[in-house]
Amino acid sequence: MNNLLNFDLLTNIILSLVALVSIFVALFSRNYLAGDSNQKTFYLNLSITTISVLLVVCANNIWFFLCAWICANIFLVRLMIHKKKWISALETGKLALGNFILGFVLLFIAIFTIYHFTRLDTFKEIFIVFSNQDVFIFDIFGFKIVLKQLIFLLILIVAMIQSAQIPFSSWLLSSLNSPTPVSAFMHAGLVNGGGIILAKFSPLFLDQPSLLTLIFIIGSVTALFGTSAMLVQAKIKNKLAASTVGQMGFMFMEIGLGLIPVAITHLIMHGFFKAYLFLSSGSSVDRVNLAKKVYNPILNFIFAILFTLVATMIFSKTSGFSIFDGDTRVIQCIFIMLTIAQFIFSCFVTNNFLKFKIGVVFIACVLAGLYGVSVDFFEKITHELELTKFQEINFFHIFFTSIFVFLWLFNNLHNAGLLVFKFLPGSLKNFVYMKLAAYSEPNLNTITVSRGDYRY
Amino acid sequence: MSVDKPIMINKSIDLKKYSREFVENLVSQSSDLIAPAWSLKNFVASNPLQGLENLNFERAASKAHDYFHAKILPDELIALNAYNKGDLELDVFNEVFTRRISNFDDSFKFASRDISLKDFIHNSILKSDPDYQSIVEKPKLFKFINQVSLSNDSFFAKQATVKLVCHDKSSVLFKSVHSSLIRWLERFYDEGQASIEMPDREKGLFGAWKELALLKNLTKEQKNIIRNLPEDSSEAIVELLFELEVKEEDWEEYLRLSFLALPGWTSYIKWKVDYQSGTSFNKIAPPSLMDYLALRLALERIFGLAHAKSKDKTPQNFDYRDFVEWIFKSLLKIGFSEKDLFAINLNDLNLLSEKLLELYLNKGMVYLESIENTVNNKLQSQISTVLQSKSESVVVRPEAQMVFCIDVRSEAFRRAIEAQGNYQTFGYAGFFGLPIRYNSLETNEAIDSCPVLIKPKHNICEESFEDKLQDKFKKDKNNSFLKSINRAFKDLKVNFASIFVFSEASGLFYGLRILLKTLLPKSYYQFQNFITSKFIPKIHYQPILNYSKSSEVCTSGISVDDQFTYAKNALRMIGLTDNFAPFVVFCGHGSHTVNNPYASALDCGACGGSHGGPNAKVIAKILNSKLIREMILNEGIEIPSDTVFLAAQHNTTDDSVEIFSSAEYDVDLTKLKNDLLNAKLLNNLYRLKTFSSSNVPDLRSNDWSETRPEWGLAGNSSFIIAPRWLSFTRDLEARSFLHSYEYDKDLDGSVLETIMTAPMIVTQWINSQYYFSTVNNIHFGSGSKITQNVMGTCAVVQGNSSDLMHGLALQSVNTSDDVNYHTPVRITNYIYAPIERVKSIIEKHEILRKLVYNSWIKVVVIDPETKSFCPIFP
Repeated sequence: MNNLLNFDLLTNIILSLVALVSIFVALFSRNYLAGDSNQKTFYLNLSITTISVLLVVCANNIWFFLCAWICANIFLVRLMIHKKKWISALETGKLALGNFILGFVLLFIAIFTIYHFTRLDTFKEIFIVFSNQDVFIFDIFGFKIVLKQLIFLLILIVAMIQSAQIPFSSWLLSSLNSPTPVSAFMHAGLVNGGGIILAKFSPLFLDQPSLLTLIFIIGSVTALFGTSAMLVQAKIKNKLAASTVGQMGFMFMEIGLGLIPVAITHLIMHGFFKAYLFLSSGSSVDRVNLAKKVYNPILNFIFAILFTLVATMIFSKTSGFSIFDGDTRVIQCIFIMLTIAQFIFSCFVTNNFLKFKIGVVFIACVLAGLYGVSVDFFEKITHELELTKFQEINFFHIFFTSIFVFLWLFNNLHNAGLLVFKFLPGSLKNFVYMKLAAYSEPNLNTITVSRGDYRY
Repeated sequence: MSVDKPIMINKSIDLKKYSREFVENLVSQSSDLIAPAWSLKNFVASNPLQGLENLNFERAASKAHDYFHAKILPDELIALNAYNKGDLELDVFNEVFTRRISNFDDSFKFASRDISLKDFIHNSILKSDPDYQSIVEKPKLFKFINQVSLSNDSFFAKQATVKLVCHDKSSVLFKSVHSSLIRWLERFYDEGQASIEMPDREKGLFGAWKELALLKNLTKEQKNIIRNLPEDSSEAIVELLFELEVKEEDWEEYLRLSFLALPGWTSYIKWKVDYQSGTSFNKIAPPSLMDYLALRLALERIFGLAHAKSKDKTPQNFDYRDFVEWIFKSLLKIGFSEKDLFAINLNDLNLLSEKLLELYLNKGMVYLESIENTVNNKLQSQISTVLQSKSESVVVRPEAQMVFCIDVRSEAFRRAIEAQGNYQTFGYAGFFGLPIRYNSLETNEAIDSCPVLIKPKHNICEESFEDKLQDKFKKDKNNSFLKSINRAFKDLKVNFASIFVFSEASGLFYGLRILLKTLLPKSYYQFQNFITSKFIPKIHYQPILNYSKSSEVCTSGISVDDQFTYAKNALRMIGLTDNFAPFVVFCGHGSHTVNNPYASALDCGACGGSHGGPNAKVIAKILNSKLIREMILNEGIEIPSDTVFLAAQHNTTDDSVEIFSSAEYDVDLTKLKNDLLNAKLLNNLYRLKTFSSSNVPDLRSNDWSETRPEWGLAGNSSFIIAPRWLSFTRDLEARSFLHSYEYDKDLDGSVLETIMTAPMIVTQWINSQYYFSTVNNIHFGSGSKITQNVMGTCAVVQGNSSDLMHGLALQSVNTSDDVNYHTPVRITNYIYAPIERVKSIIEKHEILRKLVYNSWIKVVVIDPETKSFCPIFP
């Protein structure tokens, strides 16, 4: 049994997330699916999927891992289809299954190769063998092939499919024919599989900066596309799905920065966040009381940046991450700064009460501090797993981070009325819009093109 | 481009003939089958087949069947559910059947069994288990039925003269055109979901599309077509019709079919055009049916190039297929096994079909009429016991009089409050006769708080009571904080970079919220309200009635003359002209639900899909004014000086009643409030029986996972225009609209005329919305809530993308996927008044003649003299 499953602290935390979200979704569906003719099947599929995901997370035996992985995905597809008579739902399932099957095959090849060469079948032992840099290097037709890297590439593609990275995001963007609880479960559960599988196989690449950079690039591109696609979507669930793609991209970025525990935290927290947003997607008709008027954008922006520096300092103190670290922690810090600045700026620019502004800065500092404490805590408890490897900053880090900073800035200035789209050539604006719109649209076959095709 | 030019010149000669007016005319004629569909922000129930009301109901049903390819009449499953609920009695059913079908008592031999038609149809209903449906859908049998039905496709001869370029639903062309069309419509009619809006929307759908479509991956030829299209959509329509080679005499039909291809979207656009002109959103994105057509035709043309027209297969006759499937299902129900079905000889089947044809064609109407008759019999027997035993009661002054909306939900609640003591209740349209636009300080929104058929005439603003100014200042300040924080959260969620860290940092908080909202919904909302009320004190506002003329259309405030008219009318309409109680409560209604896109469908329809409280406040304030009371006195209505008019709002989800601004008057409401609380509990218990889960109404109101927070107006079947004593203490199961009417106080019949031309029409709208959403939830309802996706914060689609789903959700009318809660019937109006008076009013108004004589509604007069029920027949 010891060989079959492995429980460490990180695994336990992920296990509790999956179990919690599954319980939430099950409780929610008690009322939500009441009267639905497939309610019982739903519960059956949900239970099997949940158990399989739990096994995926804590599996130590590679064959066992493969089986649990396949089982989880197949039952997820069954959950997604839910209404079999509805052709579009069936197509959604087929599309996802097609992607997953590719993943199954690649994962099988990877695992088979590992087994073939090592004759070992537990993660721990395998990585002990692989930790020796010089094993399994072959010379085929003059090319030097490192087995470790080959397996890494296979696993990377599996992870990309599972976490809907570009170019495999279509299945997730077309998954909204599933009932709301299934979407909630999926976006908090199985799309995270990519992160989990990368974390499990991390000894393969954590010591190789070039591979980490590759993950970072894939993540950055996906994060950019997913987030932009979210901005053009007019339907709430499609918007949330596109947002998940972006978030998964960010998770890849964090892995690429060598911060696997941070990435796992992101998975867990995003899981709750997205599950909540999906379950409450019926509220998007409700009117939200939003401040619209903008006061003194330039002055407020400068102040916001100043106070952001203060809050960031507090974060650095409590978390141990600092802008002056000179390694990939800086990137993480920049993203945190942008978030704090966004909060302070949005509050400042829409309200003129001084007391309120003082309150906002205070809250921002406290939250930044608390967030730092939680990062630090997580960092400490995962320290012994050796999942963190700070990387040197390279060109790609700077390049993609600058794009994010630029877009962030552009968006804010535009919202504050300082930048008007009219300054941009109209055709460029339209071009960007059309590209994003085209990318974020669900697959043609999964659209219910004729009213009569819908079934409940 | 050079290739296209000669054709263009050739055509421009032809095209001049067709002026814009000509095309406008064509479009309005061809959109006749499309009825407006309201946005979810202020959902108003309406008849999706409004365009067919000038036809007899039965003919309209068959026409709609042809055009929408949709079932319009109840099927066996609905009949069975009605039977189980007691809404269909077999005796009544047999009677209706004998009347309609000549060979009802026949029996015949089929496949060496004796079958009587009566058993056949009885079994067909009583055994309509979904299992039988799944048997006929088994691949082998499905195929067999297809084969059989193809062998005899002359059975229902259909002359489909006009065919759309993309008509074959399985073709790539159809998918391309429709998916593209749907995407453009979604982007164009988005009301604030997308952070980056579609560019150039002010040019209209067609204009904006022309700009943007060129950026798509299209072939050169396709792009040329787009470039060469005229700017103006009416010219484009004509040109495209030529290019698509549609014969000129078929244009109208072609465009009609084009509208019906996406009925939800076109209905929604029609609403935007007809009812929303002048709103700010219409300036951002001007709606137009013509743009829709031009875009659709252009897409047909463009994609028609890429995907060669699909070869015309022999069209499958779906009507005949349905018929055969029904026969097979029924045969299974009377004891045939699957094997027996495969053994059926084709000739035998043809003979059987001929025998069953009449029955098959009439069964829908028979089911409908038998349900209607059963429901009416039940109600009439309830009323007639009262009619016979009516004796003049001694006039006592009630403790309080309460005026409720005519809404069916008021019926149950009125019973509950009347049971608490000496309370007298009235039914009146929930806007209390006030055509106002209400500007709430609470929400900072202006709402047209009157039926959609009426244009608001008065703009009413609010002010706080003077002693609450301090509170109001605090509230405004804190509100602005809240708004800024909300804005910040929204910005965090939609900006690059910040969304990642935000979701990470707030994840635990959201997890906790899921836990609390799911496990302790009620406590969660109580806690939330507690916090909010600490931070933002809840204060009551009062309406400002002071009159000042601000614009031509809509005055601000109400002039004294108008106030007098409204006050007088309100009292006369319900017959409350003497014996005033110390309290007269005007009780509007609204719902409280969470996470429910259909929230506004549960609000007061008479107030345009919003809460009725504001109207109650205004009418109470008018009637409390000394000046108005003096003026009314001259009309012969004496209001005692100790009578106080109060405004209240009935929360239909949990049945609580909030009385507004009672502190203004020095009155003791303890007993009334207590009794209202008891009434709430009583009605809660009563309503609990109607739900399949044991969630109590208080929980339903706050549970975010509840898809059936309340039944709304489901169940509605009749409208009773009569004094309250006629239905007093009778359990009408919240299925009747009640309007108070005293015929002997309305000598000239003007009150009845108003009731019959306004509330009666509204009840028909509501009734038909529920009817069609129940009989065919796919075509006229919006499907299951579990896969709904809110589009543009104003409408829903199914799943990834689909036609805009107008109508009510499945959960609003059904207890489960297969069992309907709402029993679909056409509304019956009971009027307690002299028959001549009713008849003359019907004759006078075209809309009433249309509805009554075409059997869209039924009118039954209860004659005060003879105390008998006299149905009015066409």
